[in-house]
Amino acid sequence: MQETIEKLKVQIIEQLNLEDVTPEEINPEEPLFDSDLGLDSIDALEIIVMLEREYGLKVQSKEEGQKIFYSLKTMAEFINENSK
Amino acid sequence: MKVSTTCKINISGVQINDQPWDKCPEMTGALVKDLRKVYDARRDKYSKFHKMDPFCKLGYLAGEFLFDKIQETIPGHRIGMFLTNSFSSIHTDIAFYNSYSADEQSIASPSLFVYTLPNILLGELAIRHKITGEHAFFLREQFGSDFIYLYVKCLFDRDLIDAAIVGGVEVTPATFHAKMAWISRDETIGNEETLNAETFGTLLLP
Repeated sequence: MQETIEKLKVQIIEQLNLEDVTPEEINPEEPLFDSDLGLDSIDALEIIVMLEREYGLKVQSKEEGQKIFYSLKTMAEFINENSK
Repeated sequence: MKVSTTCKINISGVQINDQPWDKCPEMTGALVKDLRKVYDARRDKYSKFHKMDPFCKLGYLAGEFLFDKIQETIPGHRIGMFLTNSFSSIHTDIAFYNSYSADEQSIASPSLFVYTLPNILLGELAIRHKITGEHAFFLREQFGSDFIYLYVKCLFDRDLIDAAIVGGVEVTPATFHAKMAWISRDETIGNEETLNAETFGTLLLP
């Protein structure tokens, strides 16, 4: 799990062009979309694309997406549970 | 028309009203890191900062230094913003181009292309400070202080705004600099002489 979290931190920083943010500054327990990262709906699109491209996983509904993308930890849990 | 405060940011550091900012970190010329250091030195807590491209970050920081000094209480719809540069959002334009040109499978990055316009910088300032007065970002081959002066004077004379943020913000692969000023219509504000076209131009020299 920790390895997935650390990998996600790097991927999100790269995918969302958070050039001045370091992995250590991202708290995996904190909400992704109402936090110091300032992520918005454009970023949600980017993360969905990244999830499919890097892990082959698709979000089936808005409700599922809200649960998956609540935090980095919930994303990592989803990836670990569903990756082949 | 009078100037209340100015801010200049470049590789040499930060100047407020032509005086070095005493908390300015050492600037190395590494744009993203330098801007982050200035942001941290200000102890700002504005989550959207990390999402901005370097061009918007530079404009945001210069704007914040201006607002730190403003004593007037002016409604947002009475504040205008008029900035200018010569290279538009070229720094992010290049990053955007690189993001999709690497190979045929690449797709354009939405989080990059939302910043490929100079007026996005104005949008960030407007959102941050609830500014809804007239605003524009002019692209000119030469720095257009005379044009900005006439534009603002026209709006002041017609009682359409009471204050304006004016200046230039430029970020290219080779350099970065911002010079912005808060201009007041109220002649009782500010301790400088009333601006004319010439002194306005001098004020905004990068």
